[in-house]
Amino acid sequence: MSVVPRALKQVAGLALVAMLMTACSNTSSDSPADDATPQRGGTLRMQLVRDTAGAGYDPGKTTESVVYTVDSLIFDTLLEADPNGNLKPGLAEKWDISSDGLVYTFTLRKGVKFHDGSDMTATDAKYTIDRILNPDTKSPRRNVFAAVKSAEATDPTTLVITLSKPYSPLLNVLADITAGIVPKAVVEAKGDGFSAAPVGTGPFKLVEWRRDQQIKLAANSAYWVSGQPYLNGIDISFNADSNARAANVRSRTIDFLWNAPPELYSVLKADKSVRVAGGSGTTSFQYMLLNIQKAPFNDVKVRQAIFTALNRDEIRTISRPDTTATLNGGFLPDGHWAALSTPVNKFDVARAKSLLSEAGQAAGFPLEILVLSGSDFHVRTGQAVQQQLQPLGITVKVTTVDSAQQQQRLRDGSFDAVVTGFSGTLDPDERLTQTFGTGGGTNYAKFSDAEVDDLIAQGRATTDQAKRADIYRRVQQRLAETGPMAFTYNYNFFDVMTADVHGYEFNPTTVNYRSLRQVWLTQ
Amino acid sequence: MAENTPIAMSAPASEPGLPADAGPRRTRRGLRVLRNLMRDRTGVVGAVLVGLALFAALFGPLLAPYDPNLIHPDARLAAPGARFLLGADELGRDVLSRALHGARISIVVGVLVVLCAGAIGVTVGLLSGYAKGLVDGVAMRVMDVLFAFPTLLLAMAVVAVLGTDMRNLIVALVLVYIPAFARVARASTLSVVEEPYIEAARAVGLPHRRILFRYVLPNIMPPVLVQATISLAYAILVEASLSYLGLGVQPPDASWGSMLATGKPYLELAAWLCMVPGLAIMLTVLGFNLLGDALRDVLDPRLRR
Repeated sequence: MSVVPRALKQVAGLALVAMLMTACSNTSSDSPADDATPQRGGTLRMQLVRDTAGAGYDPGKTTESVVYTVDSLIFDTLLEADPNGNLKPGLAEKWDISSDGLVYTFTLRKGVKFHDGSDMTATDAKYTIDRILNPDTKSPRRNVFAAVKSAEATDPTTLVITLSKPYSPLLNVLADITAGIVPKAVVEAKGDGFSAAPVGTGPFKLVEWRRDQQIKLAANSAYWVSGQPYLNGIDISFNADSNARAANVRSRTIDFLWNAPPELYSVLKADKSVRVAGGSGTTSFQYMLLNIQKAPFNDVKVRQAIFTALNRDEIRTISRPDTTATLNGGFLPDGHWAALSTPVNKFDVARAKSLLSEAGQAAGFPLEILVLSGSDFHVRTGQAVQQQLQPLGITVKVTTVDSAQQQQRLRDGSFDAVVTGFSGTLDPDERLTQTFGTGGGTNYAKFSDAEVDDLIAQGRATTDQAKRADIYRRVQQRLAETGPMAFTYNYNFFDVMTADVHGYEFNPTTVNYRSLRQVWLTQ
Repeated sequence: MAENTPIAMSAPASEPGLPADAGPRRTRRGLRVLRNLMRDRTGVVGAVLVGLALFAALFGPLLAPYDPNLIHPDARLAAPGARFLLGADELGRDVLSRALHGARISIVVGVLVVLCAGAIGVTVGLLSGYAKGLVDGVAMRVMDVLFAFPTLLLAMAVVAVLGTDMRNLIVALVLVYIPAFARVARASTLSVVEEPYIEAARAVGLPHRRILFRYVLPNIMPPVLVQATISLAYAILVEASLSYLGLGVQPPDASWGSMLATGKPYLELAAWLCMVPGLAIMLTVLGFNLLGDALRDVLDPRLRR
């Protein structure tokens, strides 16, 4: 009988604590405007979703956005991309390209030091590139550097990269955090241990990494951008529950919420106590991939019928109405320099039906769509597609799988269709080569088309952006008509921070959080 | 006290030595149990809640105003109103229709699990309690192993190995609930076989099978029945938990757990997405628990005041 009063007491105690906490959080509401002089000090409490760094934080081996994020704080690249995708000097002060487009000469910044105090020289830059090219490293980025014939350090501040054939995306590839400069001596000494204790030149250095729990970063006091970083450090925690993460930033349990849940966009946007950054400008996109190695999807007419039966505006509204833009045709959003803005597969059920009967599939067929469990917006798209393909007699089954199962089935080719997404790349070439080029690393449907391969090669060899844009529009047109996937919509990440966080600049080009070096906290 | 003859785990005191399976007697006992149950207020509440849940499971799909999986793109997160009585979800599907269909899944899973787990568990418990010795030792150690795993963890492991679909979910839950039934059945059997009437049956030379199923089984049923009601409540809860984690029914089909999971991000925008399935789970589980408690009170003389 004494259980009830005790429980009551506990509830009352909790309520009291909650009241006190609310009272405390209301006291610091005034914050200076963003153009105020940066204040030094403080530790930014940042929350990510999951610690996905199975292999650690080695830039050359990075494939995953959490690792991209942490690496962009620890490492620097020769060039940096601003939020509009324009390249500016990073560790390289300036660079020069030979007229034939085969020799790139970089002049490196003097006096840059690694976190261990050693000097960063052209030897380290050369080593970084050699290491990615070395098959033993097993770098997932090896093929984007395939055009590199050699990298040479002619003196401590000069790096010369020679190509075997013109490769215009090179500068963009070097600006990606996967090309972060690593210290030769440290990597050679530590070997595989480097990824667990990474050393770079970046604004923050790794102090402690407790897998799945916490990453502690401290300011690099010898950072080459004078005065930066303003923060004393960054404490990164992980939380897979999107509601809890959003609640944490709203209750000031954390200062900075990385990649907030899209379902909560309107709620967070309306909340005056937090600020939302981002939500546009990325080239991330969602797609439905058909297994073109398998009947009936090996028939281009069947694929076209499916593409035409999809109402992409409706898919977007149902799946993810905020922070998205409908795609129909290319995978680049309107406004991108290489975007294909005319719709290719206009929504037309009658046409879809006739295409299907031309293919001899008028009766329809079953179709299983794999979606990643936990990626709610992909699951919702799967269900929208299910309803939209009904009129064609295509009976869709939506199956949720975990990421290991999904990867396995994609690799084995044991799937009909999958709805998932690709994050943006700085240069369209990377996405095209990797996903649609013959033998590309993420070309899951083993798509191979001579015209597409040829256009990709032309795009790589062309330096003029207008000409490249034209080539890429042609590739996208070809892909939309005959390709293995329907591009549904472009989606954007966004970050949420408390009013105490100033100076943050969302960079939509790739996953890049280096601008945290210029962030400061109200003290 | 006199009319409330003890029936569970003890011999019918007034007629020592007589088998307890006489037909009319059983009916009379059933009626008495029902009458006592109806006198118990919590029992009535439980019975009403369970009745409602069963009604929804049986006739819900007929009552549902819409196809539960039909997407209305214009009605995303529509508030409860004339068009959608309990609102629409994040895909513009009718929440009421989905909750009614979800009831069928929850109840069917619960009942199937309890029936299968009960049948297997009681058989195991009955045999090991009756045979004792090696059979008992081996069977019970196997049950101990199953019991050692936390319910949800074991169910998740089974689903993870077999793959996520409805059938595997049921298999997983059956496996999880067998030990509880086996233990209850064994404990009762152990005491029942010591009764004089079993001794008498043996002395008469009845075959084991007949003794087991005609004389032991009916007398161990009351605690098993209580266990069944409690297990039903938990099976529904575990099904909801697994569906919540994405290991149960697959989209677009609705179950209360999956409705909770997909509705969770919209708690601030559209609270009805979680409130409807949440209340449904709560009331159903509460109903089965109350009913189970009341049944135990009625069936177990030792708990009666």
